[in-house]
Amino acid sequence: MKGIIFTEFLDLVEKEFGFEMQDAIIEECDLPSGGSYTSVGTYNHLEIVALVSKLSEKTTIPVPDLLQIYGEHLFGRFTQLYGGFFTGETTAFEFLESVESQIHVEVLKLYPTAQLPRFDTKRISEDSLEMIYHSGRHLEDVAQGLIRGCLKHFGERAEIQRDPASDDGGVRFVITRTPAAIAS
Amino acid sequence: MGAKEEILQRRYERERRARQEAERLLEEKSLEVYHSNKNLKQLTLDLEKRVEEATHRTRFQESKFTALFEHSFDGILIHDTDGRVLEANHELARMLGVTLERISSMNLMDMHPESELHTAKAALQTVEDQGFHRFEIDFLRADGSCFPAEVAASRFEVNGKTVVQGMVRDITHQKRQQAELRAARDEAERANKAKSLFLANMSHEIRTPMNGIIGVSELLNATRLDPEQKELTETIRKSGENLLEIINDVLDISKIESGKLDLESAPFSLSEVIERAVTGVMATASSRGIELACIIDPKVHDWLLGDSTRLRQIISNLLGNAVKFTHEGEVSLKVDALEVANGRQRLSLAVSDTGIGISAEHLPVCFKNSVKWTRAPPATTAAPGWDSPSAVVWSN
Repeated sequence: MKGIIFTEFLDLVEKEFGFEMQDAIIEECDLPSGGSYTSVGTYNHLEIVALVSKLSEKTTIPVPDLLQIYGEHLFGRFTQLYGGFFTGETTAFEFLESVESQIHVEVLKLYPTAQLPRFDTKRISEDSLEMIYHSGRHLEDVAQGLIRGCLKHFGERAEIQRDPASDDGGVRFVITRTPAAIAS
Repeated sequence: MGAKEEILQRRYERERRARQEAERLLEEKSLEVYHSNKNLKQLTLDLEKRVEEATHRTRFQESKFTALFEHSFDGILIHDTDGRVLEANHELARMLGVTLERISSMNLMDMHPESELHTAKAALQTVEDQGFHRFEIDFLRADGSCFPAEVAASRFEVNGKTVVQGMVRDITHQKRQQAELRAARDEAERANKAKSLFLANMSHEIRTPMNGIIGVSELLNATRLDPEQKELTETIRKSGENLLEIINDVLDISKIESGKLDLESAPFSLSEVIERAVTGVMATASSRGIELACIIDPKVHDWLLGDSTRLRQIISNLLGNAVKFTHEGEVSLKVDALEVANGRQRLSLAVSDTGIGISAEHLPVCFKNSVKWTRAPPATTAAPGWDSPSAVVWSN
């Protein structure tokens, strides 16, 4: 997993819970990397699972909630760090549809060995988009947070319906824009 | 050290290690970029070399095409499917008596006289449908005159558009030669007819006095003459008859050549015809001690329909020839019934002898050049044989 996922997570922890909490979860997790992350490095994804679980334990906030908050925060950071990727599309649906065909293609150019999740999208109707998340890491909560961050970035409101993981491990999201959002 | 300081110390350590890791990765990436750059430069060089080679090849092809196009003996025209001229060479401009600039603003249909427009449109359609078409058509010069040309047109695609290339060859000279050859052939045929007519007339003119000579010599022979005088008059008669026979043959040839030989279709007795033919050569055969044999299949119909005179001539000629070239032994005539088809009986007449025969190399020439054989009546055909020429007759 790319280091930016870790650095951004730890920055968020520091911002929301203070540097003591950040230090505590690192120290208590006994991480192979020792908690030294650089955004361009590559680390075992189990370390983020351990860090989130420890944070949940300490804050009593459920892991899914923490991951969704983190996903939403991460999308905002992406827009700041990689603004070039966010200039073409004008709606959240258009952006989500381009993740697989454009953004992941560019990421793989920079990091050919990166193991990226796969997003399959399909327009169910004009206001409804189906998005299926495939990843062996099962970070579907982060994916949901990213979708929320995306909607927020484009100033849109929508309901996100999430189905349980299917047999092949894919998690299906159905994103339906609310009438208020369409009117605005 | 207080708890806060310890936390900050650990944080510092983690950040220091992260920085070192980042620097290591940066170094790694820089090396990657360096090598990629190097490979890219090599790739660029290879690419430039390939582009240069391709450009060289293209230029060579262009030069070759230009040389063929500009220095061709034929006029070359490239036009679209609407007939709009895209390109033409100097030779075509010369043929049409216009400038290249003028041609480029012309349409294919401007290059033909009104009477040939239908042919031009049909040819264009054929090229579009079949890809290639060769045809003859008249072209119109700027001065209003026309010239005949042979055109080889082919269709090909350029940037998804169909274009047609036509190779135009002026065939005025060829056409003139053909006309001259036709005129020469007609003249030769006319001369040949005149010759045949002359021969026919001459033979007729000669035959009349010849009949007089033979008749008078016969009358003279019937008078009281001494043996020497009798022999002399007999020589006159025989010589006259020989000469008359030669004249009759010449007359037949000229009749055949002028297409005036009419065949009769009348009932006749085959045995009678054969008897007359055999009788004709009997004297010569017996004087040489040659035996004459005639075998007729009992299945053969005796009464036939056809030209008995010509049939007798053929049999007489075959027998006469056989006797002439046989010094000892026998000459035989065999008539067989072959088959019956459509109510007609097919007969075979074969003459064989014990003479010297005809060599294989002369056999085709013998039959080819023999007017008697090649011009034999349609009801009577001949089948060649080594030493047994035969005739085949159809009977009703």
